Amino acid sequence: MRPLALALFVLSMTPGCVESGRTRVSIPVHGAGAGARTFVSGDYTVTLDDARIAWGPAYFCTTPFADVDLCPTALAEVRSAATIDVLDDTPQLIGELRGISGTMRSAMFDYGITWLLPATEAAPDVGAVDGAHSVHLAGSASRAGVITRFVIDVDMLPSSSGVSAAHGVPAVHVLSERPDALVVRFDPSAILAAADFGELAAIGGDPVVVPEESEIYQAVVIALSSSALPTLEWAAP
Amino acid sequence: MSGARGIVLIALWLGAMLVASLAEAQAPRTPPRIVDGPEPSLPEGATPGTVFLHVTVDPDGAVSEAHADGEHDPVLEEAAIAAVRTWRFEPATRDGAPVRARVRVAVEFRAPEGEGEGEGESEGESEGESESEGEGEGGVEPEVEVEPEIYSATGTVDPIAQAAAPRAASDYALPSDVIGAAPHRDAGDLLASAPGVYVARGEGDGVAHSIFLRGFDAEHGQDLELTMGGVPLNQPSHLHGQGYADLGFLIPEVVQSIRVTEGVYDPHQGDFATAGSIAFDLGVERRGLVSRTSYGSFDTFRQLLLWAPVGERNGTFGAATYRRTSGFGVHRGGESGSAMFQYEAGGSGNVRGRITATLYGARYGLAGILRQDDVAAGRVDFYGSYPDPTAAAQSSFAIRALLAGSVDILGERGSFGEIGAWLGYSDFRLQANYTGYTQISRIDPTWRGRGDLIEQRNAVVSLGLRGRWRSERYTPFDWASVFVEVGASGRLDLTSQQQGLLDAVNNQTWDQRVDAEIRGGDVGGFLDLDLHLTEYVRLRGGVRADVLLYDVDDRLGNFAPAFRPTTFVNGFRRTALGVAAGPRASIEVTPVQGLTLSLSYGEGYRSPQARTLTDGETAPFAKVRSGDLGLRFASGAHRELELTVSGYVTTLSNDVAFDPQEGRLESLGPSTRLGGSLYLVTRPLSWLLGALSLTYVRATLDGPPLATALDPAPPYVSGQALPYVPPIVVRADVSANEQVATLADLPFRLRGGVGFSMLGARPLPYGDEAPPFALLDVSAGATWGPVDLSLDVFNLLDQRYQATAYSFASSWSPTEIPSRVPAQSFAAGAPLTVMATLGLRIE
Repeated sequence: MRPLALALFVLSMTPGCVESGRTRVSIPVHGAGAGARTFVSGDYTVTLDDARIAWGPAYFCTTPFADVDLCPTALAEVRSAATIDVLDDTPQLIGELRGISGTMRSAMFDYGITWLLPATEAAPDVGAVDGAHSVHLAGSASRAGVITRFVIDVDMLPSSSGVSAAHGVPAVHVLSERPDALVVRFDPSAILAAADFGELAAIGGDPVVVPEESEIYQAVVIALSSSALPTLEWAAP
Repeated sequence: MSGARGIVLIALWLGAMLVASLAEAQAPRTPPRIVDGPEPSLPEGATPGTVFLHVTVDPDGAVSEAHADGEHDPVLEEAAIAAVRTWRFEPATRDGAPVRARVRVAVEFRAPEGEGEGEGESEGESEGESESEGEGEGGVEPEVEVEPEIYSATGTVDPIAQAAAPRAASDYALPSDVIGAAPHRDAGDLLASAPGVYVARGEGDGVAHSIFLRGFDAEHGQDLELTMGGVPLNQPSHLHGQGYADLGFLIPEVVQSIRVTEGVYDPHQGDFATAGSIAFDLGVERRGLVSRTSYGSFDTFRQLLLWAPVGERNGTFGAATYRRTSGFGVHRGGESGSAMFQYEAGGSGNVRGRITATLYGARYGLAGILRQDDVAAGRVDFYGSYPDPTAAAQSSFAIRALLAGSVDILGERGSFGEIGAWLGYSDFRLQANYTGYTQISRIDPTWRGRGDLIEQRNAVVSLGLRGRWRSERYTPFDWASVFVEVGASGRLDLTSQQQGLLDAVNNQTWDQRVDAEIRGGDVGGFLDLDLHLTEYVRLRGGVRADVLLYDVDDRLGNFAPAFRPTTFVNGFRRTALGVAAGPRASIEVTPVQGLTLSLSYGEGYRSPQARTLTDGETAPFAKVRSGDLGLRFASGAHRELELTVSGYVTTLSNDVAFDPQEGRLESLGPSTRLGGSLYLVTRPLSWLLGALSLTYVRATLDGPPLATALDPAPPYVSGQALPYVPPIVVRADVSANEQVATLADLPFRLRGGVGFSMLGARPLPYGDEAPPFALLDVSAGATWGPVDLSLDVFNLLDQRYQATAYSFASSWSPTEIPSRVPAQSFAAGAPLTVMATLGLRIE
């Protein structure tokens, strides 16, 4: 029986030599900050004391523009959300990317608030900032010796069920079996670059709690939707 | 008839061969006499010889028991027993009262004049002629002699069976002793005994089997031409899968033999014969009224009633079954019922007729397909189903009715004509969710997340005709002779099909995907030559051409959502016509008796899914080219050893595979298969049989769909292993069956059977692989007179195996972050299953 068993074993291995070129891949995902804690935004010097942003879930697609219609099947995904201290440029482990080897071209992701397909409204994930928000920024803005403390809690809401808050994000990378890692890096200064901190005085309070209707709030939403998306860095851990 | 006949000499010794255990006082004073005995036939390819039988004749004149006395060629033995069981006797009497008697019968098979191996003048011709002249309609007439009395009859080689002789090494005729060796769950599962075949029923008992055949994922019949008594079973353009053929209606007890042609070499093979053809021959050898009651695991109950009237041909019977089960795991329960009737007339004349009618209905639950990672994480049990209303709503429903008739006219010197017609209706409805919660309505994209419960309905009315004529043997030279056969077939299918998405909670349809009416036609013709060059070489082949026509009313063609401004109305009607033609040829060389070398080639086709055609499309056929080289070897006077070795190559111009997003088959592009097969049947003892098959295939995709802007990285690449196809299939069947005693004047038989199946690892899309597995089925039984008790055990080792495996994106937890990456998924195979059966027979 041994020769027969050996022959069967050899034969069974032969079809496996016909590679499909695909393998299952799993790599760690880190979050990190970029840039300085203090920066200039317009006429204001902004200093952040606390800056945390939730990121995920995320889907990486082979199509040039990832969205719910154009990417029914993803190449890789991060099925969790986690909060990143974006004032710390040290990579923080926030999850795991799992997928299939191949070339990805774009990504779509949420910021800790997801609108599940069967749900009637979006809801925060457990990894949301303080379990409730996409972004939490706290600090001060100073101009001409006047310092105004502020707090912003932003909810990045998807437009409808099944849709990600950020979609069509360029993410060209060849995912392979080699040791790899993903670092999602946020630059808080870029996120607040378009904010008009002069609005803080009109809102009032100490610290000023920036409401959803404010331009500062909307500037953060726009930044995280398009102009100040996080960078996706691929590097060996 | 005189030109194509054999001589079967039957000698019946009455009284003298009563079993020794019978006391003198119990001996019948007058022996049984044959009053009606339809002619037996010399089986095609069998070596002439004599078979001795012990036959028990009941007081009502019926044969209640017949078994061989000594060792014989099993093929001849089978034919002799089958013939004798149909005979009617005048019973033996004692003191004027009819009594049971046991007699010995000798059936001598001779090669017929001018046919097969016995070509030319036969020594037995004069004897045969004189006996033939003395026959009545029944073919048997007593010939008075001094003791022992001798009865004789003439028989012929059945020219239709002769014309259907194998054309390639990979053309297997599975006799009843092989397919009945091991236990089988149902008629479709009988195919597991054929070389290179793997059969699964991953979508539940109400959906057709998935059949894999030497490198082909034939799914529910897309690559296999399935027929029953010449009636096609495949349904063209079926919504759930091209060529869908549900064998659920077939009652396994009436399947007499199965011919499995792996490849396409025969001009008779038509649509869907890309991997090959499977032909079920119906008949019941052992006559009488039978009741079989089964009960076993998972509260499974089955009742069979079978009536095979004594004195009629094997092909005459009526059978009905009812089955219900709770099913293993969850959501697999259901019920089904089937009735089959067939009548064969004119057994001994030149005109034979057959009418077949079937009616079948089934409704079963579906547990569905599970993600492997969900099972590993304990979110769902291996045999379970997702705890979700859309999963619980999965079910299948099927109705099938079929009425068929045919007439055979036997002519001179092997000529015959055959004409047949059939009418069928089937209704198929499936609710299945393969992907969980991923779909978005195309009618209104804001309708989403209501569960991907696909609802499919496919209703078909079909009408078919067939006819053929085979010439008598022309012998232009002493060393050459030829038959010419021409034939034609046609079918018309009126199909209505719909597919949508169903909200299981509210029972609302929330998307429409298909709504179409299809009128399809297939008119084909063939020419077939059967050329004998000396006694060593046989050349067969010809050409077949089919014209396929389609008229499609696609009501959702050019579909535009309601919110989008359009300048047209929904709907797209089109017609298409195409011709599929190809040659088929084989050459057989028989250098020594028992050994046949063969080389075969053929081109076949699979018709298109009509709904995918564009208007005026002309040649949308999947073309297959199949080559086969091998040998068949039979050794021993009793065929103690039969060996078949073959190598084959097959290319297919357009393969298809299951698409879970739509729950149907989608194109994969061309593919190639290269492999070999070994098939061994041994009968070392008269009561022992063993069959072993090893099949290996290297199946690859040659040109999968190219990357597009919408799909820059499709799941398949050129040269990769063909998904879902097992490269290695091993099958072994072993059985022992012997009368071990006579108790209270009734024979007592014991039997046992073992079936072993092994499947190599199956490649899946995205580089995944389904694990290999091996299954062991066993059975044991005892028969004492009219009572039969049996125990069938399936998956004896209780292996957890994936009956069918896939890799696709799915997301089953609507409250968790969904997955969009393809995940390995599977439908579980049945665990350890035990069925006990009590059978009663009245003959």
